[in-house]
Amino acid sequence: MHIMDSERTYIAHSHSVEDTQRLAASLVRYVQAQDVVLLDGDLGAGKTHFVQGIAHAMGIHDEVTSPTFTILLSYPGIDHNGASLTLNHFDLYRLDDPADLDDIGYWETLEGPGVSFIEWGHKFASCLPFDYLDISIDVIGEDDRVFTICACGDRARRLLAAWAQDEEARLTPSTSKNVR
Amino acid sequence: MNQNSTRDIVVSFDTANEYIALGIGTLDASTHTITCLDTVEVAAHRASNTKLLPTLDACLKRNAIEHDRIACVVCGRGPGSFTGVRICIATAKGMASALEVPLIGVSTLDAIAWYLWNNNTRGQALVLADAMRHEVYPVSYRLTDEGITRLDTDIVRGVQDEADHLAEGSSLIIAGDALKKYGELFAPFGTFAPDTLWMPHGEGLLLAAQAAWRDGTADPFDTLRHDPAFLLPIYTRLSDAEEHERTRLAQPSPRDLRSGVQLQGTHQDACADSEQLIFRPLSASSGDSVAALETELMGSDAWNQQMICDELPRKDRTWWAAYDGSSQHLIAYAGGWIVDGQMQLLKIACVPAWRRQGIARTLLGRIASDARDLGASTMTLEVRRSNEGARAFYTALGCEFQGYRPGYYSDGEDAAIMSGPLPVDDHDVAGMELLFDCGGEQGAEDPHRPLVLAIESSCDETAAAIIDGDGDLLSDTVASQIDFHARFGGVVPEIASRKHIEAICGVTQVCLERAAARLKRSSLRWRDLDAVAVTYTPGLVGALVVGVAFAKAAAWACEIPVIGVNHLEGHLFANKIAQPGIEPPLVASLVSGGHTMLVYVREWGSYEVLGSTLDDAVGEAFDKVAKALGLGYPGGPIISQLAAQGNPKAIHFPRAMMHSGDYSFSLSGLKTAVISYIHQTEQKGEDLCLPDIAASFQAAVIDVQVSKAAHAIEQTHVNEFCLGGGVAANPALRAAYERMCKSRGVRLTLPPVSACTDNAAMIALVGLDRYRQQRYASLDLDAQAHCDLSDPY
Repeated sequence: MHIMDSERTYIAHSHSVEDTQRLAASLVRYVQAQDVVLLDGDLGAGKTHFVQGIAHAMGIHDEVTSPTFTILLSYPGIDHNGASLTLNHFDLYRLDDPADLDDIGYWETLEGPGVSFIEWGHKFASCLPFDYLDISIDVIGEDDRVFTICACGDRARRLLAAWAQDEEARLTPSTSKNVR
Repeated sequence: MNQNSTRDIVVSFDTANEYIALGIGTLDASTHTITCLDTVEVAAHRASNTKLLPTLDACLKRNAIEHDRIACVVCGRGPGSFTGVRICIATAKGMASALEVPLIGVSTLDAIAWYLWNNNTRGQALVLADAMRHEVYPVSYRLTDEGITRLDTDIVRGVQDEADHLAEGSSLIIAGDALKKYGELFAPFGTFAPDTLWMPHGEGLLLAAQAAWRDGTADPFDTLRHDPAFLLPIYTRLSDAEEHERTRLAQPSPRDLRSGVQLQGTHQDACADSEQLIFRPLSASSGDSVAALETELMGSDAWNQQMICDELPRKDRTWWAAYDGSSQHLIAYAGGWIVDGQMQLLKIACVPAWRRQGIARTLLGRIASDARDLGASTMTLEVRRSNEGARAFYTALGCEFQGYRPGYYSDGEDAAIMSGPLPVDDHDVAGMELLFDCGGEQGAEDPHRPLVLAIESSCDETAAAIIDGDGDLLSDTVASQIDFHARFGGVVPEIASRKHIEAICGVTQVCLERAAARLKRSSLRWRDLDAVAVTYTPGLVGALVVGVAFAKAAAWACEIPVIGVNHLEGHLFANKIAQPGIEPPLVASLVSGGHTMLVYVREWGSYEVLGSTLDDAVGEAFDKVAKALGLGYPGGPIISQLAAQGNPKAIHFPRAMMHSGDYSFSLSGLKTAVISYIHQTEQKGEDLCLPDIAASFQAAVIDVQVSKAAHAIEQTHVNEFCLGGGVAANPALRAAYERMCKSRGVRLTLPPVSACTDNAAMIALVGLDRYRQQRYASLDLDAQAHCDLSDPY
């Protein structure tokens, strides 16, 4: 089990769904196959909006809805270079038993040729990937959200370092020590 | 097919690693040589099931090889992705069964090593296959001019652990797809083979088969020895659910971690079988009972409680126990240690009063089954030299005497060492109870065409049925896995998939035999059939995949059509069994563990889903409430029996969406309400009245179901209403529908209770209908978890 990297935590602010989707789009410039992003936050915090922003930036025109019932939905998309990259969107909210993940090929999917976003990814300790970007969304006001972003694992640290340099992402290093 | 042609072709394939490797060759019986004719390699990430058969078909056509020349099928057994290996083995089983040829399994890793060898690699080699989750399947080999020698048994190991026990150097040759991910980590320990040699290859598969032929472990012409039913995947680990269970049972006071609700009193977590025996993995809470029995039976060689409890959490051990169903007392236990591909029998004991009832044999079967999943293939044990009864018992299981261990026991008696094959239950249906029903006798010598065999494997029942051109069911066979899931409180997908692979050959074979008996023929063979129908959606993907891959391969082998069937349409067609004259338009309610919906049937084949559940299915709600009450699994029959003795008006539970005006259902709120009621009552220190809770919960479910159904009947102006799905067996629900339909003058059709649960007869009915319309599926048919019944297919 990895220890959460407490050195580098970043914060991003969003004041609208559009802001959230812009933030998501800026991440697409850096993701590659087998990257995993965990999204946590209360119902309505904007986890699915974030994934919609990702999907749009990956050239996916299907309507992206939360896969609450199906647990996993996959879409064929493209990365920032135009090469094909599958978007896997998981939602573990409705899952009662992590053993059920066997059936949808959870590990095969995470470790396959796509980038994965997992809503409620912290629900089961046994389902945590080995290397992931951790994004938690806090609701501050009606439209205001704070994204707290940290990395677990080498690849995720490199991903976050690259993303943090992106001007459009407007990530700022967190002043407080990571509290999660 | 031409019976006189020479069978000289071997077909081999492997899909263990999201990659299809295929090789075809010719067999030379005089020199035991396989000559490779053609190979194909295709990347198939999560698409092995759609690509394998079309690829194989194209390869054989390219080489102008007819199916009747195939003498033998060779397939990779893994280790690898569980689903990938199962697609490979299910396809191979279907193909070999239908062609009536031997099926030989080879290790996927051996095939990689043989491919290295074939490319002139010599020396020490290590194959590292990716096991995902930061684990690898490592096997070492010595490659010499004569061939390959395997140095380890199959195992799964953490990536870092594997690296830690390797020595730095450059002489070791390393290959395998794990290097794609962990190349940097393993670089210091050897030289990487070219990456074109990291995956299985057709040439490697054929060489592995040839090696087995030459050393006598296989014979590609021996159909009896290589019955397709015998072959199983190499897993190297138990399912996640079983691993979690072992961890939990090793705790001193096991708690039910899944429901979050733990009640006092007996928690019956496994169904008692007909002799009132319960078999389940040994838990630490029984440690004292085991220790007491040890003292009583083993004298000075007895293990104490501490020794037993130390055993339970170990990953290379398997311990099972048998309990008296009425008193819950421990009556027997057995333990095994899996080391180097062998299971060492550590303990087996039974209370004297319960001996000679086959309990020890059953326990041995359970630990052997776990040991097999953990990579063992043989068993070894010690028994007192003087214990002739025990020695006869093991001899009967195929064990042979190896020698004595002098003075092994504390009283100085010698131990006789015996070893033999792993004593797994080798019944053709994997120890499951097999039910069949083939109606009355039929005297006709020639069956009325077409003959369609249907397979159903969408959840926890492996089923097959055969229907003739008159719509008569010639046989209907089901192997239920319910005993294997009961102690988990629900169907565990990985266990379901494993059981389907074990049962599918036996179930289809029995189905063919029963149909032959009904037709008064000596046999009915795959090649006598006109089509194979199979459930492809909706359900558990890993379970469906087994039936779909098997059915496609069998149909392909016999060059007959394969027909994909929607399971839900099967439930609608099941009403034809009770009421052959039933005609649309009608409204049907489908309620089961996975579905809750109202369907408007415009005509057969044209459906509109009026509404369905937004969260839990009705059957799921029954299971969860039963579990919260500590009543066991499955919940439906238990709750309905209890409810019959209770007052449905005792507690008012919510009727969600009763007046929503549409046909949507929501059951998750009701389930939560029942669980909160239990908590609150307990907190007040009051006793729970289980019959009243069950009756009130059931009434809330039924009220909503019936009221929505009545609304649908009014809106669609139909005169027929029918039911489908496992919950349709609930007597109170049936009675409520009878009242509702009677008051509205609508004809109600209730399928027979046996046809409500999952079965293949209903799939056969749909299959026959689609056969007549020539609506066939293609060889790239795949399993699908979800499907909208409204969409035609």
